[in-house]
Amino acid sequence: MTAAVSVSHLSYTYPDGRNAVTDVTFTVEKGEAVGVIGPNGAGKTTLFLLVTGLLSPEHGEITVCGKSYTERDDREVRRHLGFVPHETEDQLFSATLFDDVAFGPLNFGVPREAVRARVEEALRKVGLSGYEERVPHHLSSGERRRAALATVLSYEPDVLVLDEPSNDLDPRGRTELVRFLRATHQGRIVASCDLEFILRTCDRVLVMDSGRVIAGGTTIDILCNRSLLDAHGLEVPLGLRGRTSDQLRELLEAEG
Amino acid sequence: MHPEIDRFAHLDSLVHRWDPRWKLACLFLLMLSMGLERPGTRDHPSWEADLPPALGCLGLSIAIVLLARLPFAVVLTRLRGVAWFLGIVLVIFPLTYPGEKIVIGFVPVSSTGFLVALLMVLRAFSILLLAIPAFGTSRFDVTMKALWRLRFPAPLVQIILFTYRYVFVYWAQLRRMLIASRARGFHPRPDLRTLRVAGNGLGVLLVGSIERTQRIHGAMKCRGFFGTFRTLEEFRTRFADVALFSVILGAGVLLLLWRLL
Repeated sequence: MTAAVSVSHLSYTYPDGRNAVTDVTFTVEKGEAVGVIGPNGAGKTTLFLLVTGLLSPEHGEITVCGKSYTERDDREVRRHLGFVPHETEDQLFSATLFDDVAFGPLNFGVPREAVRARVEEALRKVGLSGYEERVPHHLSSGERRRAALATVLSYEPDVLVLDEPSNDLDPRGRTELVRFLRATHQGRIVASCDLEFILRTCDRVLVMDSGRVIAGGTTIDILCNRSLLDAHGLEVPLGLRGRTSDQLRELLEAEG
Repeated sequence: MHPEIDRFAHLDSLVHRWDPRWKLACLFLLMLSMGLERPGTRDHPSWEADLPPALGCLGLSIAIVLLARLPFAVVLTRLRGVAWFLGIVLVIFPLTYPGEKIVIGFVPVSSTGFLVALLMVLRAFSILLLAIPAFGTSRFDVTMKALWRLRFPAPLVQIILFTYRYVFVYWAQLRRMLIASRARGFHPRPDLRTLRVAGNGLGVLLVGSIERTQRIHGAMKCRGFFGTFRTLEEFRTRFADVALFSVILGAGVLLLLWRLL
């Protein structure tokens, strides 16, 4: 079976000579949720820019649902990925929220009569029904975060690539996002420093530091490895400290 | 919908219900016709031949504003800045226009100059008054999409829409920078340091805007953008749209003939 995202020996150096990503290899299966954690400057965002084809790697290969980026037309690859960047103001560039959410489906050739329904459905999923005519600038930061997610849900990509998705969300918005991500059938790659959020939304975790993948494993195993986290500038959330892997598993199962 | 720019877009009137494409085409043509002047008017203006049609143009513009049910006081407030400029024209022209002059008090004044200035002011007001129903009676983004449907170049429409989207973001950022600088004891004064601080601030905004442009372009590419502007906005022509177009443009043509012949 073809992996949703396959990254092989990926490396990238910025023009100023800084190695942002070095020899990174991983795969994300269809429907799987993979977290990418690491301190600031670890290379998480650069990795996402490479996966989405916004940066071209020096070495290595990326395939998305079996397709590679070519110079001619990257749309065939990108239609499988729903990238929501960290800075939501850049994702919401249209004059109204409706236009922003309709932008992807219109470009990816979704029939015009279906686009309106897709937009309404995407806004409903993120709890922003009735916001269609709002100017994105007038949304609160939490609303903008949810609206940014709606802009990619509307074209139904196979994999969501989310950079710090829980930033700016209040506790209720965060819980709703967790609930949505756990229910969706789409694959997910989530970069976050919010380890509790990662625990509740991801099956597997990659730990990155200085552009390299330092460790990988199930989320529970990684989050219980305190020495690993300490060594790479990460911290187990207070509420999870002192719990064993089995206790964490029970906690997640109790949450449903 | 922007609370200030789209302030009148939610009202209900014949002009609001008018298909934006027909509305823009009609009002643009009308503005264009009002900008034309009778050959020879600049050198030999005539109170009898030039003033009544100019007043007729102003009357037509006022009628369209009233038809759009726009609050006239607010419309005039929006024209206040231009009114100052036009007021200066009304003062300068009579004083500097060549030819025969009459003396009022100690000041030699040209009645021809006054008439030329008055005609310019009337024409300018007529055109500016029309701009408000043209752009203010539909949501700004809808107006831009209508322009695009009228074969206005897509890149230009997109640039205007981006400006509409981000001008407030940068304005908010500028205000935050001002607050931050004041919080650290900076008070603008008419000196070199203030100029340097202002220059640095604008530089930061400019560099930031270039980086933001690149990020936005990336976000657009990720959502399949390949250089083609697309919109779901549908416009439908009804009989009433064509009828209103014909009536208003017909009135404009009559006024034009009156002025030119």
